[in-house]
Amino acid sequence: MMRNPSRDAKTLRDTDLIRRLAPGLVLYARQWSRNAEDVVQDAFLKLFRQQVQPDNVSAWLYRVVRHDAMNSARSDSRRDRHERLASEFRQTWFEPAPGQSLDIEIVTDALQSQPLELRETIVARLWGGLSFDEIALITGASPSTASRRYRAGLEALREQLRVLPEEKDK
Amino acid sequence: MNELPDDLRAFEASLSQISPKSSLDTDRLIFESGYAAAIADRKARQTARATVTIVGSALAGVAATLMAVFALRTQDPPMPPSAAVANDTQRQDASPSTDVNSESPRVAERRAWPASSPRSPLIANEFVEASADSFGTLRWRQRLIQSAGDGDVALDILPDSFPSRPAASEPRAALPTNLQWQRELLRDDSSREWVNS
Repeated sequence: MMRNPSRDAKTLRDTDLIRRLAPGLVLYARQWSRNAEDVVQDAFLKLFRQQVQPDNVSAWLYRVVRHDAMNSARSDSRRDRHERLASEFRQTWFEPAPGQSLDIEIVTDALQSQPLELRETIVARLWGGLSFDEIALITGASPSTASRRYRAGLEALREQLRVLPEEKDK
Repeated sequence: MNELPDDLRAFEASLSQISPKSSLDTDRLIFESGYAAAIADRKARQTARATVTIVGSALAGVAATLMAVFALRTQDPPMPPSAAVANDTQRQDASPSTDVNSESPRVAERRAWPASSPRSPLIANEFVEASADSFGTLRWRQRLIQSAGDGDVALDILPDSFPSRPAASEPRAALPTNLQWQRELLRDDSSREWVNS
């Protein structure tokens, strides 16, 4: 069977894209939905079904994930509101790693306690690597607003992470 | 975009060290993405082929329409029946003598002969000699000689010897045959006084 070099190169690009962007996208989707993996998978498949690739693939994926995660959260809340409240996001959002200075459970709790617009800005910037312009494009806010939210979110997280361990000790 | 202070930048760096947890099956996603890309590629090729077909059909239709419009424009405009009949009559008058009822100049000359023939008077002799094998012509020649007396003088027939033929009331459809000429010449007619004189 003949191999198509351009298709092979595209497959490599796609593989790299998935490995690079998938974790941040899953964390981003978790801000709204419990089915974050499904949402991200659908977003990638939507991307690869596109006949014309978007100019900014990262921003396009984050935008699609945001939209789909919001829809998924709406259908979740309609389906089993009580069940959802009982098992509200008790899973950690981060991978444990040796030598890590921050407790991933505490970070998860601290992040979950933040307002949604701060959370999504921090995740998109810190773990998604998006610029403030791209975040502004996705969220519909201005770049300066995105920058302000990011800074406010980081300060709030830092504040919370200083406090939370002490509360835990008590 | 305001820059972050150093302490906040250090906190940002420590946060970025932890990696998000994901139970996404990346291998399966890579496989499915390849499949989806192949399907999209095939669909794009089919769409391009269909587009070419549609555009080709549309161009052919436009070309056929343009040709039909051009043909209609180059035709004579429609005219009422009376004008069409008049036009047709004019065309018939102006057309060359291909009509059955019309005659060529050569035929007209022969029909008018000998009254207006510019040819030599000996044309009658030529005619007689040319048709010498005809029994009727020989007989006529013999009568001509007998009635004229001696020698070949009788053969020197001048054009004035022949009465002018009246113009045909209507055009003839064809040339007279030799047989018709002979009958005409040998007809026992009282107007042929010159034969006996």
